[in-house]
Amino acid sequence: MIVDSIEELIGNTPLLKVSEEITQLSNIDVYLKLEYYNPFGSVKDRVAWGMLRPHLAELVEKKKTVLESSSGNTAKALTSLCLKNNIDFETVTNRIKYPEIRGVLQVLGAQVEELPGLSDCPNPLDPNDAIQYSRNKASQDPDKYHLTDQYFNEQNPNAHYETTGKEIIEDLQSVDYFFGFLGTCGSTIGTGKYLREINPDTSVFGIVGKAGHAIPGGRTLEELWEVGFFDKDFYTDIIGGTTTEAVDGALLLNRKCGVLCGPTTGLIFKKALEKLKALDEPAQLRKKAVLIACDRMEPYLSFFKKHQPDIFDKRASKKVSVDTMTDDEINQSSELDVSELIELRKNAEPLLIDIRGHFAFSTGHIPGSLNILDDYLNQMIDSGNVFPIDKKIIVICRVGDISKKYAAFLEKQGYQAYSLKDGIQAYKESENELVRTIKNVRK
Amino acid sequence: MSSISPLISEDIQSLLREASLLHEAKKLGSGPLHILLPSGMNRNLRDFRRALIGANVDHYLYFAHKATKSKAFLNQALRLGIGIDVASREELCSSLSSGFTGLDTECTGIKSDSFLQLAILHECLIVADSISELKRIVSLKKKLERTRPIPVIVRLAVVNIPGRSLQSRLSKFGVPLEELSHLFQFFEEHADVVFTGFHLHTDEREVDIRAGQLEGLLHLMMDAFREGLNPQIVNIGGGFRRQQLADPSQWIQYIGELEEALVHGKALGTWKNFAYDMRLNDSGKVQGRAQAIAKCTVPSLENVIEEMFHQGDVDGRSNGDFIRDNGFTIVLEPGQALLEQCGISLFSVVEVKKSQDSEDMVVLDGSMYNLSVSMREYVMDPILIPSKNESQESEFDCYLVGSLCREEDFLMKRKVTLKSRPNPGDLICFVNTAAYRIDFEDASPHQKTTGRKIVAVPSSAKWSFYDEETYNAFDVADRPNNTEDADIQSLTRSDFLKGMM
Repeated sequence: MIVDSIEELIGNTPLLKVSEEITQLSNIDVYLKLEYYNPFGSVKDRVAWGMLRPHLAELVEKKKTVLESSSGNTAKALTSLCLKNNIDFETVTNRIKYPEIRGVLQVLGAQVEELPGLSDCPNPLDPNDAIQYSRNKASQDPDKYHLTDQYFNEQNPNAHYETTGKEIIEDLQSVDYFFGFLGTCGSTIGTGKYLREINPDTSVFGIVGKAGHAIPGGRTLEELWEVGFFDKDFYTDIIGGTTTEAVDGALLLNRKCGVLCGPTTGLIFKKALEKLKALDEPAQLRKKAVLIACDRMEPYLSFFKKHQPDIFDKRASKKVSVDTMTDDEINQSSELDVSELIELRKNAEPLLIDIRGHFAFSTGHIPGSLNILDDYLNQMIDSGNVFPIDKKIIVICRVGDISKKYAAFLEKQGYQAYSLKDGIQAYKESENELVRTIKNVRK
Repeated sequence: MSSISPLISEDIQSLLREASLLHEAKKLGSGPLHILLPSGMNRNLRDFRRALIGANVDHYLYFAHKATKSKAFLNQALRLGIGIDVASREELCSSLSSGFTGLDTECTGIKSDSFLQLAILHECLIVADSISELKRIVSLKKKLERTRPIPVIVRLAVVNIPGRSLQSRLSKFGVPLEELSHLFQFFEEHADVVFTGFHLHTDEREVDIRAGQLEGLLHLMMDAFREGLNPQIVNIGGGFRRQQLADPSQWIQYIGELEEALVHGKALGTWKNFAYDMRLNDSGKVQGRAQAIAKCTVPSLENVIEEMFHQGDVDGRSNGDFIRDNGFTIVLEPGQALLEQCGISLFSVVEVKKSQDSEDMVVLDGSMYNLSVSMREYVMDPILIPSKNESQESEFDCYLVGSLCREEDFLMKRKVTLKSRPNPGDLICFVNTAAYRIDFEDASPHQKTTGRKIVAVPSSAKWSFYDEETYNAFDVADRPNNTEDADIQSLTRSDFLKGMM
């Protein structure tokens, strides 16, 4: 398959029929519209291209900058399309919640302006509304900016009416139930409108996050009143879900269906199956349900990490770990106080290991000590015996608590290890000089 | 009518059951009666300490005087062994006369020469707001012939959050980042003042951003060391809010209903369709929703503190580990958060009348200034405390209006539902009014009283009442939570001061 330009790959995404084993539905077939097959990875590619295409020539000619309010997929698609067509692009957002997405936008070279968030001492003068802020910015400099304004631009639902809806009908002829997530509402309104023109009985369900449950790319019901296309009466029902349900649904699709989708798709899937179960009655014709699979899983690893941390088990990575030390073992570790340390150093050359961060070490450490960070020390021990076994090792931290744990750990590995009692703090208070090695920029 | 139920502590619930006692107390004076419960501060302080000890960072707390004018709360703070944060010469005089010494005191905000002078004479810790203020401190020190160097913290207007292209919120306070090199230069040239650390008011709603602000602050601490300085304090300010609603989802739902009504042009059930600063934009959609929601929803203190110290990447360490490695002390300046559930305000019903549009209006013997409504709307359901037990109760929807000549003098802008139709002489109680509400805007238009304050202390099975001016927490036999809290202590003042210099 040879294509001349990347834009040709937008749309015409496949419909995946989900097996009955997974859906547990007897009379309804469930299809996922795999929107992550779009070239920039999400359902928003259609919208971005739909909003940009009619103005492309003018934007290039007048050297205008495209401005949008997006912190995710729309920004990703618009950045790619703009840069490719030699157009500058800026996006204004409230906080970007997902570091992966911020990283992607940085790699692409997007100009991102993150607005300050809400203060806990609220001040009405603070800019906070990204949509309004971008509108103001565009109207203050109309020669420079072209605002795409996805929350209000008719080309957003229109792109879905023209393409997504049409494609689904071409493949299925008619749809009984349609499920999508509500962010700008463009996909559900545009697609739903087309589906209903073919079959007026099509039920359109909007999925949202429940209050307090932030789902990527979406809104909660209460937040929808800010959105240009939102029309409550359009929807058969609006169904709220939780972050946990989003992870559950995504894991089911990720692990059982080979659909590497993100949590938003996961929530649509989870809530759709619940809804469809209630509607699963014998009928003359099998019913058809279509769900939008908006985007892929990878940009949301941090979401999974936050909401289901046990997926990422760190302990497995180390064979021996300081974290396995029991309180008893730690309490029984050997300690030296400052005067004993000074006495010891008169006749022997113990190894002094300061496990604090490099900066803390550079602003004051015991002469002759080495700086090996605690995490790294654990790794070194994990990979083998790296210290001379016949030397005493003194472990040092700020106040002698974490060093106790490491001294116990080293002792368990066969070293003669001690923790410096009360740490650097005690050494400092004993009037012994600490060494300061930090570079002074003024000298 | 939507219900927005307040969270009410067990102590306050028990006090509210004493209806006849409250009616008697209300007779002490005209106008509103504010009942203060200083012992509630113990629990609030314990929550802070638990969270900070959980984060394993050395810390010291200054109670922000500005949240109250009441001596009783100052006295309780003194009793609890925390410091005091004062923002004016008058507040400094007040705290000194309450028994705090200069060494217990941190001076913040924008300062007059006379404030600085008193601060220097009492050897207070000063949070300098600008380089020009530092210059004034140096010259006042000379004039006052003080020999000992003055410890100062420097307030920053903003910090950069590493790795983020974040627009910063403008602040009228603090030193702009562009002036940092001048600041470091200043400390190199002036031994009269000792730089002990930075201050940033980290009041961001989003936990991740607060953590990022702290991270940015720690990077600046590193910069200061590289300039040859030796700061030890990281002051993250106040702005810690606590949950005030029994069920915050009631507020979110209420705002959702207002939004829907706004979009469809329906009546909002508020006076003159007040929408808690939400409005329709030129596309007919709602704007300002996030701020409206934020008025009554807050992240948990425990979570904010845990995340602030757990997150971050400074010199390869989390914020908390970096602070610990370097032996820094975290300073906090909570005001409101220490006064949660520490006060209620009682108003008498003057009469019930009809508005032009046939709404019932309950007139109270006070005004919006008695609840500092223009600073922050009061939104929670008020409680009717009838003077006589009426057998019949049927819910009564009404507006609560104040008795000033100003049209906007409403105690609450939304219509509320009382359990029955009130009669003159009944009491309307607003809960959780101790911080800022009682006296931040205590103006007295029409020469009306600003209200009376009394102290209530729960002791076994009964309530004791004290005069607000002379209440002495050290005399109160009951020392609540003392044994329970033996294991959760912040740094002592002497340890804190030793670490600082």
